[in-house]
Amino acid sequence: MKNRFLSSLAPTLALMALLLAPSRSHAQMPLSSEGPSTVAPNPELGGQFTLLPEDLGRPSKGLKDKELEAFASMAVLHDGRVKPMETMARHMMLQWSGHDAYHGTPALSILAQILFAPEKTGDLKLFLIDNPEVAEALKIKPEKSRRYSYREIEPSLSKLQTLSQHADSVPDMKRNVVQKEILRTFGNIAAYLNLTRSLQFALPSASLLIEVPETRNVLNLPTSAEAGSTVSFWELMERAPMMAQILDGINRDSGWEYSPVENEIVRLSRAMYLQSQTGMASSLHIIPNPDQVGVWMSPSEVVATPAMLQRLNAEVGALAGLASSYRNGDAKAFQEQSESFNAAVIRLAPEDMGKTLFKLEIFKNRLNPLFVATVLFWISMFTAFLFFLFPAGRAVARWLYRLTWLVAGAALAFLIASIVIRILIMHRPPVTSLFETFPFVAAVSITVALFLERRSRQGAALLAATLLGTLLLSIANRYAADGDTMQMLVAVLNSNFWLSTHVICITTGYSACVLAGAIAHIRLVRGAWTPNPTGHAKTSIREIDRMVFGTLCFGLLFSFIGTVLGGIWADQSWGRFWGWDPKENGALLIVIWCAILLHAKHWGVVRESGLAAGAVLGAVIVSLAWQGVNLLNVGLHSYGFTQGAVVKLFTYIGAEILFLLVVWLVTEIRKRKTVTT
Amino acid sequence: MNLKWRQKAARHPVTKAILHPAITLAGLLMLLMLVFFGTLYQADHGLYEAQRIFFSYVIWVADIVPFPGSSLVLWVLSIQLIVFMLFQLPLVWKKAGLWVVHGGLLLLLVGGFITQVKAVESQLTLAEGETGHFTTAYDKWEVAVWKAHADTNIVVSYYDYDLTPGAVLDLSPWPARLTVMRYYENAAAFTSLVTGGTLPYLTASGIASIEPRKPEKDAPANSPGLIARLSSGKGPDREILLYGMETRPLALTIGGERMMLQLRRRHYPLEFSLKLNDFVRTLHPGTDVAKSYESYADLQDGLASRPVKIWMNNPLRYKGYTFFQASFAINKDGEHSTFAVVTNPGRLIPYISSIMVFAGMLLHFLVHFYGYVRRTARK
Amino acid sequence: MSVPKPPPRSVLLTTLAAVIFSAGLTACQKDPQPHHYREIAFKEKNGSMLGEVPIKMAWTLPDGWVDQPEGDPLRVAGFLAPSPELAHTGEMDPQAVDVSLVQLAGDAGGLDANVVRWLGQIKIPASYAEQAIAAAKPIQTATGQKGIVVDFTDMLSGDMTQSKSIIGAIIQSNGYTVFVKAMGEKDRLVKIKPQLLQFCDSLKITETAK
Repeated sequence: MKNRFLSSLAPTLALMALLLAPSRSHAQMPLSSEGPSTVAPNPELGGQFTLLPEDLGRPSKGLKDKELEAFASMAVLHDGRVKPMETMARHMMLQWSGHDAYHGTPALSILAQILFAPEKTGDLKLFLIDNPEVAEALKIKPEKSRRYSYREIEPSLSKLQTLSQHADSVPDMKRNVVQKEILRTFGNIAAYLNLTRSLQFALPSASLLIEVPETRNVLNLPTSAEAGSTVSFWELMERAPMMAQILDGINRDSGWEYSPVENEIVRLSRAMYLQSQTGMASSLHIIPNPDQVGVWMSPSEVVATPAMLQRLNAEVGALAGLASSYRNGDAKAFQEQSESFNAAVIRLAPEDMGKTLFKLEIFKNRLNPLFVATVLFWISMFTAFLFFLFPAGRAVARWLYRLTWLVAGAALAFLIASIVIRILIMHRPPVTSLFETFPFVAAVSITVALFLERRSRQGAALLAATLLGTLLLSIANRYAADGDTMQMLVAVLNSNFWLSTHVICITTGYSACVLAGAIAHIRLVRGAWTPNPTGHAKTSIREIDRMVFGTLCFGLLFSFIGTVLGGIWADQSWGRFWGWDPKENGALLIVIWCAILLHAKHWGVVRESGLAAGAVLGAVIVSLAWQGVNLLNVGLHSYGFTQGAVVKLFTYIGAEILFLLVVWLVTEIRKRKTVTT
Repeated sequence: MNLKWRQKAARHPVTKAILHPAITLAGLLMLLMLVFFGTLYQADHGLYEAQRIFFSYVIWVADIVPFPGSSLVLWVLSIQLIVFMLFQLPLVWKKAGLWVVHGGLLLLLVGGFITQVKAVESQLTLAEGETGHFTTAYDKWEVAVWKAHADTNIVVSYYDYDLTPGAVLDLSPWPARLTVMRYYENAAAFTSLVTGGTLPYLTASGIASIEPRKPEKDAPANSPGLIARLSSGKGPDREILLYGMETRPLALTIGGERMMLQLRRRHYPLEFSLKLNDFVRTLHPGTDVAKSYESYADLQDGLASRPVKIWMNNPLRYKGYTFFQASFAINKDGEHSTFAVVTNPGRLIPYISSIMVFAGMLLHFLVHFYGYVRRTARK
Repeated sequence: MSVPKPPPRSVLLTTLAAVIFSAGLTACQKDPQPHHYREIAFKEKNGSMLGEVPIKMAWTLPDGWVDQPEGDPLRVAGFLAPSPELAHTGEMDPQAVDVSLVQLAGDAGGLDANVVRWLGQIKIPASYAEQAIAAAKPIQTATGQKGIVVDFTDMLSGDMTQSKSIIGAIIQSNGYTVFVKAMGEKDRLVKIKPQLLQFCDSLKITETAK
């Protein structure tokens, strides 16, 4: 997640400082071999300096979205996992702008542009700055969409850098919203700049300016009419032996005067050396290290290491070829070169690539079954409400009922598909992060609800299912907006057996209690509507009561087992069965509450409506155990934190308490009314 | 089958009083509140303090209002449970599930009690190549007195809970006594401002005085201090000062023998020894997130020695001890591996009781579900 | 099942019994329990063993010197050396010089490091170490081990509030180093210097079998 990038803040800041040097096409590169200077932008240049490369007379033609298919499945090691380029592209877009596409253009096309034609991306409004204070602090004109382009942010880059350094020195927990946003924005801009430089060696370079036309003849380069006044690093690299020969000749010649061509070649070779050494660590790890399994290098890393460059010359050349095909608009060449590069990668890293399922992953990215399921649940929720508006028995009601079943069933199918695909891609059991609990809880509770509905055919359980699907998956989609939801596990959690059993049991327990709560809501509304039920109404309410009771028992069983398994897992890993960790305590609260409810019911202290109210409170306790404990930021369970969650959690709790009060009031009033009439 | 004596006992007013549902419900509700508020308290004040307050018998809210602590509530509920099973729970097959559930629950409470009283948690940090013969407590202290004898030290120690003012600690087999004058669970130490003056107490590090401090939120960070009077048969009494953060013990002559005294974290000698050969840490590629930690060691018991591997989620269990890979340190002195060491005679009880409760619940629900299905089938 | 009636009087009795019982449990005072065990003598961080040392020492105590071994465990012996005039008057000399006898394994960090350490204790900059060592006089113990005596009494301390100084002997042999350090007011040190040298000459160091 973001935090991992932020932990490399120091080197990133160094990169920024290093890059804040003028790099315009007609500024002379200093000839000293001391490395790039860290000179502040020259105001005499009209303050128009930019960190983005320029096309320098060789504009890029680009490729259409559908011509980038092979690029979509190029492998990249990102956040500890080998994934297809398309997933990384979506992840970056989500992180930067909160959407995974740019006004209809897929994230992959934007990424391709950033890598191969960075000069064109300066005006794309990629960066979301949510907090208006931050935009103000950076003196950026606020936009309604709150998304800004790099060029809008560039003038305040040094200010952003200073503010980030300041924010970084404050410990994580004490940062305010503005500081967090500044760090986030800085991280995103740094990531963006990093990507624009990842294939620098293949793009026209301002420091490799060719002023003497004859050099082109000597080095067999295309004429300036064809190719502008500069060359790319790689083009020169390909002609390195020729240049070496000429340099050799110069060395032996003891004369004072060098010819213009010789001068230029000396200058070019110096510039090349500088460029190869200052290609900073790039985040684009696409070339596997042939000697070390699991280690992937960036192209600039390979270029900077002569030994590696020799061995992987073909692969790096293929990447350079990709860049030129893209810029020349040559779709066929691009496709061929991508495919051959991908094949080379599979040869270099058979172990890593053997574990991947790129086609499936890209399919899942594009289809987004979770989102489809969410939409379908929304639809089914509306049809379910409509169904309740019409008296039972009417044809309309029957059709609405069937429709709801169909849509909800389809939604469940997509949901289960999304969980299964995730298991296949990640090679691990379904619930290993906070995000993943939502789809799983939804799947279990909705499956049980549909099963109950088949037996009772009242519509109550069906409505509960649609409500749960809508609510839980909407939250899940909010989490998904945080970035890549398929992260690697910390060592402590890396134990498949106990992890799967404990977490699955606990989430099943959550599901049951949540379902009981959902059905209880419906029961309480029914109870308020007909407080003194008779005949058919009485039997149907009794049936709902049995459902609440049954699911509560189910919830107690699984919560208890899950809690105990958690203790066993803790005993196996850390030496103590129970450590009073907030998450352990949360699970214990659920167990105790369910026990209280069931014993109270057994002794007659509460009756059916009381049990339903208790189930609603049970759902509140589940939400505290599930979400609230992470907000305490303590103990071994604090690995999922969402900003603003505290407010949302308390709003939910408040809403539930209000609901109970209102229902109770209405029930009492209507009871009195029906008695007196 | 309901025995006559059981029926009589169940009707007795004392039994009825003990088994009153209000007590159970109130008790469970109190437990709920204790766990909830204890968790919130823990976030600000640390686990140690939270456990100390919430696990006591009485909690004084705002120093005036008494509220039952977890220990009290659990004792009351345990007594209720025992009486319930002794007299009230019907001895019929239909309730077999409930018998198993409540039996398992009772076992769980007993196991929890045993763990509370008898479990010992300590740690062992070894550098590569180093052999460990004892483990060290995290936040429990002892005052240790020893004499060197060839390669071994013969130690007499008293644990920190015995160090109350006025307590007399007998140091036999050596002819001396230590009378505790002051003991602070957490203290700050001060050296003298005047160079060359004589110090009021005998110390190993030149400390002139100690002052009490509030206990740290993180209990292992506490540094206790002790001022005591050493009296032996021969010679005058000497007043000594020992402080937890000192690295060297205090050397004294007692009865003609050279003895060492130190206030240190408790040492728990092992019946065997563990020699760390190599520590390995692997990261998830391209990240700084740890994938696994592994320690390769030799377990030496007497003359026998065998190689063992201890890694995350895979502890070493030997002779009642469990060694867990807890953490590590890599610095200029080399690589060090830290193990969490636990002895707990009640370790297996939660496993057994959980199986019992699960089986019992399942049994009970199945019995009722079966009955429900039969009833609805008849209709 | 109907709602149960309020609890009868027996509840009070039972609760009372419970309270007395638990109060009795907690109020029990127990005697302090000693724990006896043996453990392998462990090495300190700086490597010196806090167990047996491989050499035995004997000496002749100069006139008036008093034994004071307690405190620092690294000390084999410690003495208070009063001014010679006050030696047998029975008066305690409040400015008696503190003399310590310490033995460490190996070369204990080396001659330079230890001289620098002593200089630091009286706030003289380390750059004077060379000068101090150059001016050092050689000595020999009764059993033939050789060493040097460094005398800082004619050096100025950097800290004007500091009036103490050190005269010390460092005897290095194979496998161990013995330090004799006298620390106190400058004029006192000068007065007892002859006795100090006498003490060093009288040292008998014998290596014990390992």
